[in-house]
Amino acid sequence: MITLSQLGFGYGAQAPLFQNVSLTIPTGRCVALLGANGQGKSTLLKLLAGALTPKSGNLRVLDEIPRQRSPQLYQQLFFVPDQLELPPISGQRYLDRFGLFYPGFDAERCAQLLTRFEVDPSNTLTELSLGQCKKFYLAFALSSGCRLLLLDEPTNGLDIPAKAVLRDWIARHLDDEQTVLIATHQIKDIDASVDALLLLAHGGVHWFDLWELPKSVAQSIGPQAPEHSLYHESRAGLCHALVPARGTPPCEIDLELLFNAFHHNFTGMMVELEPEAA
Amino acid sequence: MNLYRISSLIRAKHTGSFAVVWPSWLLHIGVLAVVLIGLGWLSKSEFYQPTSLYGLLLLGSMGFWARHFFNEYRNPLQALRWHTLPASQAEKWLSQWIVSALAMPLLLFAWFWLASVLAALALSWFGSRTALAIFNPLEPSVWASLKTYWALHPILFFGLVYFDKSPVIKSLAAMLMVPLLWMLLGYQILTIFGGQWHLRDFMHTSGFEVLLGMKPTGGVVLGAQHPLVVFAHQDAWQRVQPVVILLYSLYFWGLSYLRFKELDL
Repeated sequence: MITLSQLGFGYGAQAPLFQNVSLTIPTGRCVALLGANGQGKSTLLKLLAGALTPKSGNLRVLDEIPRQRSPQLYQQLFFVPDQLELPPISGQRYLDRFGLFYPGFDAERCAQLLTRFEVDPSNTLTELSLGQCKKFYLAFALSSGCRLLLLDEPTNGLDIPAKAVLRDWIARHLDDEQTVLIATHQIKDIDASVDALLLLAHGGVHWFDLWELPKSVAQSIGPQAPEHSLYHESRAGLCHALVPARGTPPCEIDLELLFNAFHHNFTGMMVELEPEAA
Repeated sequence: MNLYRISSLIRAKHTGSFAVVWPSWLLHIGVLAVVLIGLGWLSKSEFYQPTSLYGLLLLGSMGFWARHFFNEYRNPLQALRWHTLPASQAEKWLSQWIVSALAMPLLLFAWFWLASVLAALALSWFGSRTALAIFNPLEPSVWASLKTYWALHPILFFGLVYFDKSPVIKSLAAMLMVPLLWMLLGYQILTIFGGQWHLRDFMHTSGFEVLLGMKPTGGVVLGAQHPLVVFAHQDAWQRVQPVVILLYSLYFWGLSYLRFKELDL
């Protein structure tokens, strides 16, 4: 699906954002792309979408080189940016004019999603609020039939019911041939949907399979931090900690806690999770 | 290259339906008709043919429409949506070229024709002694204006892709560089070959004011003409002009395409 090989990228004379990044993202996964501000989440999505040119290395998405910007790739790849500006036409006209570029576009599904998002397609798009605009474009993206969806902060501006609709769609409609990459700071909005993590830190991109992760780390909740905790934080008077699994039964891990653990104790986490790489 | 996708791109960019745009079109035609009525009314001749006005409007309109081309690729809130639209780079570039180079003049001609018909009818209705000529796109002067429009199009088109901010002003400034460079080239040629040729003044040639010219002993005339340098031996310039303009156009259109392909966010 996506292969990065020795990828390097940086903006102008600034320090490089990525250096020698090699990674493979398989099909059929819903991946959360996490990283602190300025680590390059949006940049990585733009590289995958061919909107930016890598400085070095190779990048292949759906067996295409994204920077070649071929119609074949874009018929299967849809990017929902964090901020967007739509033309001053009705939603229905937009669907008519732009839906025809996507062979797999499902107008019926789009209408259903718009109903669930409570967006009236007869309204002029420039008169919609930021959240409604986002809902409209998400409905379009989710109905495009594309095999790869790149969503940059998709829950920004969405109300609570719309977030639930998004989670539900991902859970019910994502098939083995589709992959969703979600760059977000609001991990709790989508944590029930994702099954893998891409973590951006220290100029690298690290892949973690959430099915495999509990074999290496476990979460504990108690009055005090365990002796060998990799990271802990206090929540409502209780100490939530990540500890090496060391044979304990696998348990669900809070993704926000996991992200904070990486953010504050990157080396310790990498030693535990990827001892060879560390 | 997929013609259906090109037409879809044109329709996607120019999203306004006829039902939406016709009031503004009608306003433009109305204003033009009023101007023509005014000029016809003030004209002292019995037959008024404002062909130079059409040429002026055709060229002047470039400054207005130019900012609409490639603007979606310059706007960071729209660029990603357009870059990732399923169409090739060539199709996206060509969709802009077709509208700016071909559709815009045709649309303007339709406006001119309608405005001139309205103005002629109005003058006749008001009993004006001046008859207004209805716009005829096949007139030689219109064709000359169109050729000037197409001659300016390549460099303006390139500027619209190349410059991120204020592309129209910068492109117009770049367009001014063409005659300046042309004159500089002429000056250099005159300087280099001046020793072999003798200076000679030309005051009037083919309706242009000639600043100075060099006549070599062999009989070839090189004139530094305002604003262009012309090679005038045995109509040589007339013969090479279409080729030169074609090469210049292809050069800047080609550059604009290459630059468009390189555009990053």
